[in-house]
Amino acid sequence: MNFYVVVEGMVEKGVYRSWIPLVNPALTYVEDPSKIDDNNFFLISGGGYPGYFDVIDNAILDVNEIGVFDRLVISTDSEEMTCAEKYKEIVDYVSEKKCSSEIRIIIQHFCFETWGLSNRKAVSPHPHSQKLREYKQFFNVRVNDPELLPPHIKEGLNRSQFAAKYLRLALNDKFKNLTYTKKAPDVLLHPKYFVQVKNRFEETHHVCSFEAFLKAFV
Amino acid sequence: MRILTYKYKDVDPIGWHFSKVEFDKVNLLVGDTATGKTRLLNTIFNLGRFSVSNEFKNGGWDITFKHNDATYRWVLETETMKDGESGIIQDNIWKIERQREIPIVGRDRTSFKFNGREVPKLSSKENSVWLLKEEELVKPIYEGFSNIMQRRFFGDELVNMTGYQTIPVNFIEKIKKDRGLKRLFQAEFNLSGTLYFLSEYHKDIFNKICTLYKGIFPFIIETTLIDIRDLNKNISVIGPMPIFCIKEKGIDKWIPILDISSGMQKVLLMLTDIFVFPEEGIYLIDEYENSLGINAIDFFPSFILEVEKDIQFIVTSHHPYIINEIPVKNWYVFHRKGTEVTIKRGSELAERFGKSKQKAFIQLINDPFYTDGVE
Repeated sequence: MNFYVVVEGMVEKGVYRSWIPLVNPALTYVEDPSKIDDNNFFLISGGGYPGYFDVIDNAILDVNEIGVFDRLVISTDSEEMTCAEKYKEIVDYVSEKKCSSEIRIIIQHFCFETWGLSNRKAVSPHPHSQKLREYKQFFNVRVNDPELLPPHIKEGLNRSQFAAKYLRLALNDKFKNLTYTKKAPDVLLHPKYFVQVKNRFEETHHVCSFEAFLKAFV
Repeated sequence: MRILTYKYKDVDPIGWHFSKVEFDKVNLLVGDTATGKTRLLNTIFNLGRFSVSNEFKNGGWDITFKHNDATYRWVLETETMKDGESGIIQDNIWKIERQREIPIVGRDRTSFKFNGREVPKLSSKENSVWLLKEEELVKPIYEGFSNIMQRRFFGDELVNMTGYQTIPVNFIEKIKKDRGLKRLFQAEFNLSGTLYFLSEYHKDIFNKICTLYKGIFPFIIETTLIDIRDLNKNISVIGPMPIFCIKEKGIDKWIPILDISSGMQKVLLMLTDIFVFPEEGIYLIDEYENSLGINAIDFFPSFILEVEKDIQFIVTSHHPYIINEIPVKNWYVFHRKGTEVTIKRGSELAERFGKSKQKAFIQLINDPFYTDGVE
């Protein structure tokens, strides 16, 4: 089975490339969509630029033209929408298109960093950083569902910005000399990180939106 | 002049090395930040300054170029000695005819030959193109290098180009005798000065620039040149000081060039440059899109692709619109590992990119050669 995967940003491109084979070990990443053979997946990122729907449109054209993809997977952040609202938005959009393969939608509620924050081992129980202690007091992602993280009004951060800052602080606190950036999400690529996110979902049913990721590639 | 192939290395021990690249008429340098695009542009410009202005520049160049239907190769290398002094250690020029390299200049640390004859020892800080520019064999090369212009379109350069300047009376006399655009190009007047001469002696070109400019910014209804003394009666200057002015819809007064937006200044400067450029010129443009709105960007790709003059464009850009609109085959993708800069031609990517319907820019930012631009 072959997958054409559209992701929004560069961080997902790196992470999905590492995590998809952990969900389905039979799958191998291929860089060139025209070289897809069997049990391969191809990833394209919109790079965080505007025009994500163009990338979806062109992905459908590729799937139809190249003819080797069994499933088109579209991954996107819900951001300020609810998971259901964002899902409907994408469904409404793609239902007007003719795609020769099945389409699956992954809504990262509300951004990829929410999933990142669900790894309890990545957030120290006793942080060195004062700021991180404050954040934990404000909303402890080790205990509460990261998908319920509120915006940090005092700091002028919406919930996605807050999640990104929270995750960066947590990773810096836990892993010295390591920083999380959209371009270098290295620590998240590790299989152990994926396992922790998966465990969190399975054990607590937190980060519910992660289930779509687990199901999209099998 | 048209650069055909280009290779450059810094000569200091931790300097950068750029792989050999074949250039086309329109060349778009793309790559992540710090991969060396601007550096490469600077090295080309430096070679030009070294050749025609005798400003010593350290470096190692290997360039093949065409000018006046003749093809040349120039290998020039400098070295910094232990005492900190720099000098030329290699300076060889060949004319290429039927794939044979015929020596014009052969120079190393100990000898200097021109056209087969030994030349007396000359300053190792002066290159052969500068030293021999009056010689018939070298003159076209000197002329070729004098046709290189670099624009950075930001900071002091834009301020200087849009500033005010009196027109030297002796230049008016000169241009009356020789109206060629090359004289105007070499005079390096600021924008208002150049536009003044175009309006006086090349009215058709001036009108074309103004028409194009108004097409890009449709809210401009009129353009003109007004002497500063007519704009401001309190100013007293000796000689003419024309100022390019525009009139916008709904504003009933002339707006002088200094008071229009920097984006609009950039567009005017670039249009004027291109119209004044001599044939066989090289225009180096570094991040034209900086601080520009989309209305000032979207005309640019088709404009440079369609310019009928023989101008070679070497342009850097990070802008999705510009990158999407310039054909992939005209791209040069930069990748740096330490001090080694590898430049991949877009033609190597064109076939693969052509197989997907995703926009070229999207495919570029998903290509590991680009995304892992600095290793």
